[in-house]
Amino acid sequence: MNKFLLILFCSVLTVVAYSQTDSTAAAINNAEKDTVKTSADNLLPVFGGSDMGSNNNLQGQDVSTLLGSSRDIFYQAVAFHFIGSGGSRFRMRGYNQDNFTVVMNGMRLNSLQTGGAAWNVWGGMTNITRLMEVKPGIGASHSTFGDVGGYFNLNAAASSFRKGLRVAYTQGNRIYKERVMVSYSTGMLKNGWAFAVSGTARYSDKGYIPGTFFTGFGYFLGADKKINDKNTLSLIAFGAPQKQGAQSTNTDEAYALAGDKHYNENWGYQNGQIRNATIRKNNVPTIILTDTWVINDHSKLTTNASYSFGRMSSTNFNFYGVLTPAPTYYKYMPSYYGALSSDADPGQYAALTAAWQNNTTNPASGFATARQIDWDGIYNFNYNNLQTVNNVDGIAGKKYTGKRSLYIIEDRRQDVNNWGANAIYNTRLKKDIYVTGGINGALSQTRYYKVIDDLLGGDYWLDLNQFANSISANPNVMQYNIKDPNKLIRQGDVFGYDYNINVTRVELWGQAEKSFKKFDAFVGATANNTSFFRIGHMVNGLFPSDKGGDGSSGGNSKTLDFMNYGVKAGITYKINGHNYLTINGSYSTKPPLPTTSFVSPRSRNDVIPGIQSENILSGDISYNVRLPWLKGRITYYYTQINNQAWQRSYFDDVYKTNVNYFMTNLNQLNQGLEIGLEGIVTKRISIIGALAYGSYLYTNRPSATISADNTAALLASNRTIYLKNYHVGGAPEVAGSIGVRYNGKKFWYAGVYCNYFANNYVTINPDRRTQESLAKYVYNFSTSTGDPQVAQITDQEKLANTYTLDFMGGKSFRFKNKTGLNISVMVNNFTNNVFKTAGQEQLRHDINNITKFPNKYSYSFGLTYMASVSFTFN
Amino acid sequence: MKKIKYISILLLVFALGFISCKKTHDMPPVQSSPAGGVYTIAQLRALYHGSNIKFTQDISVYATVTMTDNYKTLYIRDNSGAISLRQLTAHGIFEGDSLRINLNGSTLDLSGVASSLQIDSVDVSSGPTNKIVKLAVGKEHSPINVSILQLNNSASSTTFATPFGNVLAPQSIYDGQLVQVNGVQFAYTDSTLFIPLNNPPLYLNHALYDCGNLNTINMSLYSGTYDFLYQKVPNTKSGSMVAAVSFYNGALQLTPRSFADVKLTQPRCGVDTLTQNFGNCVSSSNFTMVLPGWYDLAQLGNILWVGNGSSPNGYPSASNYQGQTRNVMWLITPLIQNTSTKNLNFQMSYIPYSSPTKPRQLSVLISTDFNGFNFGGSHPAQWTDIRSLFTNLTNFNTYPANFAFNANTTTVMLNQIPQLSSYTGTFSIGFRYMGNNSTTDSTQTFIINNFALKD
Repeated sequence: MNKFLLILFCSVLTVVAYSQTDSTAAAINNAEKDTVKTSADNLLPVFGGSDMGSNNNLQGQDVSTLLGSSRDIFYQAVAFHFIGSGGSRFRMRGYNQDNFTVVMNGMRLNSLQTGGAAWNVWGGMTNITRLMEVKPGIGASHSTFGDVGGYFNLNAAASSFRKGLRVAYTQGNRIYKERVMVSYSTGMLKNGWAFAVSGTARYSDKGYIPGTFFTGFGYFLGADKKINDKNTLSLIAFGAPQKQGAQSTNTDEAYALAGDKHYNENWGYQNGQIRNATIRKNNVPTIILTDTWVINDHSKLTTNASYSFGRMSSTNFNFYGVLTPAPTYYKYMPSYYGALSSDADPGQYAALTAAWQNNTTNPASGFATARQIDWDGIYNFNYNNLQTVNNVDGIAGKKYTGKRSLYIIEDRRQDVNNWGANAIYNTRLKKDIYVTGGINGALSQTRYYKVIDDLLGGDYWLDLNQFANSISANPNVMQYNIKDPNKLIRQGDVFGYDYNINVTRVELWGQAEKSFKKFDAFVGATANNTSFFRIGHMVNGLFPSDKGGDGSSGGNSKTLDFMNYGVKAGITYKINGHNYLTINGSYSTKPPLPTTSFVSPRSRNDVIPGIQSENILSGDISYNVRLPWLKGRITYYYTQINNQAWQRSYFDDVYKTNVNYFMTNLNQLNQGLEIGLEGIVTKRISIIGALAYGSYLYTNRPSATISADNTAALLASNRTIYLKNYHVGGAPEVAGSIGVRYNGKKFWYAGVYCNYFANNYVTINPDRRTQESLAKYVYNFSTSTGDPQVAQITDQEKLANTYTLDFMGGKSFRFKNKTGLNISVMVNNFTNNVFKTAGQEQLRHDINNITKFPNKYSYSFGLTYMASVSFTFN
Repeated sequence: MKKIKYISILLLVFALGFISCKKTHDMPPVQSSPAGGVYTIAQLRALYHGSNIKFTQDISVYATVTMTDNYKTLYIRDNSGAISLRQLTAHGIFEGDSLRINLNGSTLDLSGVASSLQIDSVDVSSGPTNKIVKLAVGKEHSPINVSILQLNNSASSTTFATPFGNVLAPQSIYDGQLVQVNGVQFAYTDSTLFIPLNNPPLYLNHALYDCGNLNTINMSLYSGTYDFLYQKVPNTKSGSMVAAVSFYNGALQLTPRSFADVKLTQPRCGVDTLTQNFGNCVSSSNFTMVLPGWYDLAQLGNILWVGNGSSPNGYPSASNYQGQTRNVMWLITPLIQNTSTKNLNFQMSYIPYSSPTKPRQLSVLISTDFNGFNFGGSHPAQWTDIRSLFTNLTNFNTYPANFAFNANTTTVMLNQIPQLSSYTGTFSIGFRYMGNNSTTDSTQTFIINNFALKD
C-alpha cells in the first residue's frame, strides 16, 4: 500500500511536470547550478530545521542549515522537512559526510581525519551560511573538484555581506530554547575596507530530551581590504564553542520500562540536581586569509591560507573492577533473565521489571535508581574506598594511601591543528571555454588523548588496564604507560591513551567548461596524495616497544601513503529555454580515513592488513524545468562505491576490552530518484513537492578482521561477511514532502507540509552475517523450516513508515528608514507523532541468545516549534 | 519535445522500478539439518547396551522440557518417549522450552545402579560451548495421566553383559515422563514434614498410595527443594500429583514438579469397586503382599486371619483352633468410596469343629471412620454389625461346611447398604472372627472367598 501511494505521489509529480507546453519563456543561465542569494526576497527564514538541534550529533546538527540556504527545492525540503521535521535522520543520497565537499572562500574545510566537514565549527552562525553555492551531485565548480555528493561553497568575505545591522531573537523547544544573534556589516567602504562582525548565543538549561542541555556561542570577524583594483585581501575568523549534554540511544525494553520514548540514561540526580555524564564540547576557531587577484577581465587567482585549532571532547564514565554505572547495561535489564534467554530467571526478571518501572534500587547492580545514574551512590563508593598503592610512580617502596576512585568521569579529547594552503585560478579562454585549476595542500595534526574530568569523590585514579592481567604474569602489561608506571592520576592528568594522527594531503585539479548553443559541457580531473601516520606518546604495557612500527605502541607507525585521482564530466542539453537535461559522470579513488586504518589506534601502531583506497563510480541524469508555473528537477543517481574500509569499536565484556571490528573491500550501491518541484497554482499559491526515493545496498561479501585492544593476536581475520543486498541503513531511503504555500500581499506567507518517511533500516552488525554466527543453527530454505534464530540473527529490521505535518509562516515589514522586521514561525510535527528515526544492531552479540543485545533506537521529537523575530537596519 | 517527454517518463518509470526492485539479502551458509543427524529419544534409548556412551561427534535430539528439578536434571520428551537430562550446571532452561540438544560432549549413562537412563553432562552455559538451541518457550508439556498401578506394571528390566560385569537397566515407558497420578495419598501415619529440618542435602522418600492403598510408589524429594521446606505431608488427604518418573535402584519413583503440584485437598479416598478372589492367599502368605490395601488385625489375642490352600485357589480363614484364650481377629477391606448403589457379595463357609450349638462368630461389620490405624486406641473406629441385612446369612446352617464353596449356596449378597444411603465418604467392611475354646464363642474355622463390591 505504501509503495502504491509512493508511486502515485511520484506519478502526480511527474504529471504536473509534464502536463504543460514549453512555451513559457524564462531562461536561466545554468540549469543545474545553484546560485548565491543576495536579494532579500530570496531569503529563507533565518533558521534551519536542525539548527535547533533535532539531531544531537554535533557533527551533523548544522547540516540542514546549509541545505536550507540552497534555492534547490529538493534541498529545501531536505532541510526543513526531511531533517527538520521530527529529527528524521535523512541523508542526502545515503552518502556519508565525506562524500560532500565544503569550501569557504575557496578553502576546503573537510577534515583530513574524518573526511567530512565539521559543520558544528560554525554552528548557529546562520548569517555566514546564507551566502552559499550548493551543488548536488557531480558538477562543475569554480572552487573545488568536489565529491560525488556535491559541494557547498560558502562565501564569507566581509564585503559580501549585506550592509547594515541585524538583530535576531529566536525561541523554540528543541535542544536549545533561545538564541540571540547580532551581526553588523559595513559593506565596502570608500577607503577600501569592509568589516563584518557577528555573534550568536544559544542556550537551554533543559533540552527537549530529559537530562540534556545546550550552551553555544558563535562569533565571526571579517575584514576585507581592497589593496588595489586587482587585489583584495580578506581575513575571516570564526568559531562556535559549544557544550551539550548528550542523550542516549536505547533498546525498546528500556523505553517501555521507563514509559518514555525520550528516555535518556545519561543523567541522574546529584544532590538533587540533574547531572549528565556525557557532555560534549567543541571549540575549533578557524582563520582564513584570502587574496583575490583579478589578473584581468577574464582571469582571477584566489589564494588562501588557513589555520584552525581547538578541541573537541566528550566525557563519559570509566571504572575499574566494579559494576558498570550505566543503567542500561544488559545484565541490569529484565530481558537478560527473560524466558528465551539462556540466563532465564523468572524471579530476577520480575524484580528487575519492578525496579525499572518504579526507578527503585536495581537488584542486579545495587544502584539506587534503576533508570538513572546513581551519582550519590557512586560518590559514596569512592569516598569510602581507602586504599594504599605500592610502588607509586614505579619507585619501589613508595606508598600512597588515599581514596582511590574506582569510578571516574573521563574526558576524551581531540586537539586539532589544521593548516591549509590553496590556490585557484579561473580564466575564460576564447570560444567560451572556462578553465579552472587549483592546487592545495593541508596538514592535520590531531592529538587523541583523555584526561580525568572528575574523580567523583576520590583522591586519585590508578591508570591500570584491569583486563590485561589475564594476558600475562608480567605486571607491566597492566600499565597503560610503562614510562610512567603506577602513576596516581589526578584531575586534568592525561591517562589511558595519548597519540597523534598526522595527515598531509596535496591536490592538483583542473576543470574546463564549454558552452555551445544547445549544450554545456565540462570535464575535470584531480590527482591527490594523502599520507598519514600515528605517533604514540605512551608506551602501553601490552605493546611495550617505543621503536615505532607494527607491534609497538610508542613512536611512529609506518606511514600510509595513497595516491588518488578522479575524473568527471558532464553535459547539459538545453532542450529549450525552460527544459534542460543533464548527464554527469565521475570516477575517482579516495584514500581510507585514518580513523579506519589502524588496528587499535588507542593501543598500538599496527595497520589494518590490506587497507587500500576506495573507488567510486558515479553518475546522474537530471531533468530541470524552469517555467513560470513550474520549476524544479528530477534526478536519477547511481553511485557504486567499492573497496571501502569500515571500522567500529565496542566494549566486549567476554574479551574484557575494546574490540575493533574492521571490514575491508566493502562495496555498496546507492541509487535513487530526487524530485523537487514547485508548481505555481496562482499568483499567491504554490504547491511544493519533493521526493527522495533511494536504495542503499551493500553489494558484495567483504572480509572482516577483528582485533582487541589488549592482545596482539587477531580475534579473527579474513572472515567472510555475507552482506550482499543488505541495506546500509541508518536513514530513511524514502522521504516525501508535499506542501501548500500561500504568499500574502504584504510580505506574509504561510505553508503546510505533509512529510512521509519510509524504508528506514537499522544499521547492521556484520558479524551476525557470518557462517560462524549460524554455526549451531539449522535452516532448510527449500521448506522454510528451521531454527527461528536464523531469521532473528540475519534479518534486518525495517522501522515503521511514518509521517509528519509541518507549518511555516512569517511576515516581513519594510520601513521607510531602510529598516525591516521579520517574524517567522515554524511548527514541526504538529500532530506530535513520535517515531523511531534510527536504529542500530548492537555490535556485541551472543549467538546463543540474540535477544541479549537487542537493537537500539532513537525517537523523533514530537511537536517542536521555533519563533523568530529579526530587525535589520541598513 | 514530445519524444523527450515520453523518453523521460519511460526513464523515470524504469528508474523507479529499478530502484524499488526488492532484492533478497545474502545469507551465510547454514546447515539444512543438524550436523551428524537427529535421534529420537527412543532411538537414543536403544543405543544403550550396558556401557556408557560418550558422544564425540555432533548428533542432535529435539525435545521439549516437561520438568526441571531444583538441581541439574531436566526431563525432556518427544513423540517417541522421554528421558532425563543432567546439565553440567543448571542455566536458564525451564519447562515448556523446546530444545535442540547437540549431544557432542555428553554421555548416555545410567543415573545410578539400576537407575534411569539419562543424557549426562550437557553444557547449557551461556558461553560458546553451549550445546542447546532454545527453539521456543511455552510449548505444550502437560503431564500424562497414569495410575500407580499402571506405573508399577510398566516396569521391567534388562540385564546387559558388559566387560565390567552385568548391568541391570530398568525400563518403563514412563521413565523420564511427566505424569499426573490422581487419587493418591500418603500413608496415614506419614504426618511429618516433607523435608525434615536441619537435614543435610539428600534425597528423601515418602510412600504414595492410590485410593484404597492398593498400590504404592515411592516419592523422592531432594532436600534442597525449597518450595517443600516446612511443608507438612497432607496425610489425611488425597488428590493428585504431577511428577516426573524415574528409576532409582531398580524401583520406579516419582519426583514432584513442585509443591503446588501436590494437590491433596480431598478426604482420603477409597476404591470404587473392590474385587478380591484371594487366589494368592495361601498358607504362609504375607497378607500385605497378597492382599494390598486389606488389613489383617488382631483385636484380642495374637491370632490373625491366615491363608489356606494353594495358589490360585487360596482363601483366607480365621480360626481359634489353637487358641487357648479368646482371640478376636479382623480382616478389613481397603477403604471403599461410597455410592448410593453399592452392592456387596462374597462367599463364606466354615468347618464345624465342635458342637453346632456353639455360636457362629463371624460377623460382617461396616465402618465409615476406619482409617487403617484407628483400630482400638483412645478414638477407635465405630463399627456396625450388618449381618442382619443379609437375609441369607441369618441361618448359618444353610451354608455348607468343610470349606465347600458353591455359588448357589455360599454366596451372600446385599443390595445396597442402608447405613450408607446418605453417606459420601469412605467405608470399610470388616470380617470379624471371635473365637475361644469357651462355650460362648465359636470354635469353627471360617473362610471367605470371592469378595466383590460393586455399584
